[in-house]
Amino acid sequence: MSVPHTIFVATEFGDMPHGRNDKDGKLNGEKFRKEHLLPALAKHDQVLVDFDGAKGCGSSFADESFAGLIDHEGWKKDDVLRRITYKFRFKSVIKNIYKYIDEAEARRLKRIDENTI
Amino acid sequence: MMKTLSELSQAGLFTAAFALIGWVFVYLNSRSLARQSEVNTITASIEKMLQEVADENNKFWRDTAASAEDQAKPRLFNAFINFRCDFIEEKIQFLNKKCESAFLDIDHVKFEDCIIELIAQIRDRSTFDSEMAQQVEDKVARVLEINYLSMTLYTNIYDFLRTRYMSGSSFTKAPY
Repeated sequence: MSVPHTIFVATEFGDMPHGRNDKDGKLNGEKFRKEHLLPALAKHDQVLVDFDGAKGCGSSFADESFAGLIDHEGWKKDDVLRRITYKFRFKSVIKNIYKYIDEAEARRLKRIDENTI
Repeated sequence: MMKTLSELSQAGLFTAAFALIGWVFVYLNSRSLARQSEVNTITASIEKMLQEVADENNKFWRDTAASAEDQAKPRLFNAFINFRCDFIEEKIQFLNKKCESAFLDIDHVKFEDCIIELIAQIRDRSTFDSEMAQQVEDKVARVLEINYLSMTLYTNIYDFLRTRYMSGSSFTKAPY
């Protein structure tokens, strides 16, 4: 397995990631997804998102950044899980990221079901 | 053999040996009690923080039901809740480590997993979509959920400590 490319959130993006979009603040999840995560995923197969040094990771930020790949960028859960890993000292924050990805996948499957009916 | 024992007894060696054993017992017991007291203090501080999480939730969701848009408010709220949840998560790790015992078969990994799951839920239910609180449908349900999760978390910690420091007269099946 290749060594993943690491995005150091605190130094490369900002140490206080928060909110979904520009309405919620500058360091929002949509901006992180579009300007950091997607470019890194375009170049590298494996990406490690390292939150160490960040002063927290808001739940809306996490949802918009990672579950947002499924909700807005057409990704599937398996690809998100396979290609992105996370590092943060608080396991409960990482647990929530996986929860949001699960919920986004459920929404995606529901959309597919609705479209096929 | 009897002669040797008699001589040792006359020399007072048995008395000294019993005194030493007694001293070791008292020393270990007092250390154990001190540790238990420390653990109780940690638990009390966790309880206080959980109470704060619940109170602040109540205040925030109640206030935002009728207030205007403001970026600072949800950010402050997020900071308040996340700081306390981070603190609780760290304290739980210390508590778990401190409660390790060679004489008791306690599943520390299961305890930690269970607590982290609850903290994750508290973080999520407290702060998710707090930036657009106006659009969250049932704000009261959020408050009730946090109260319930806080209570469950405290009960889990209490059950864990009850198992760890169980007295011989109240021996029950360990939940962890």
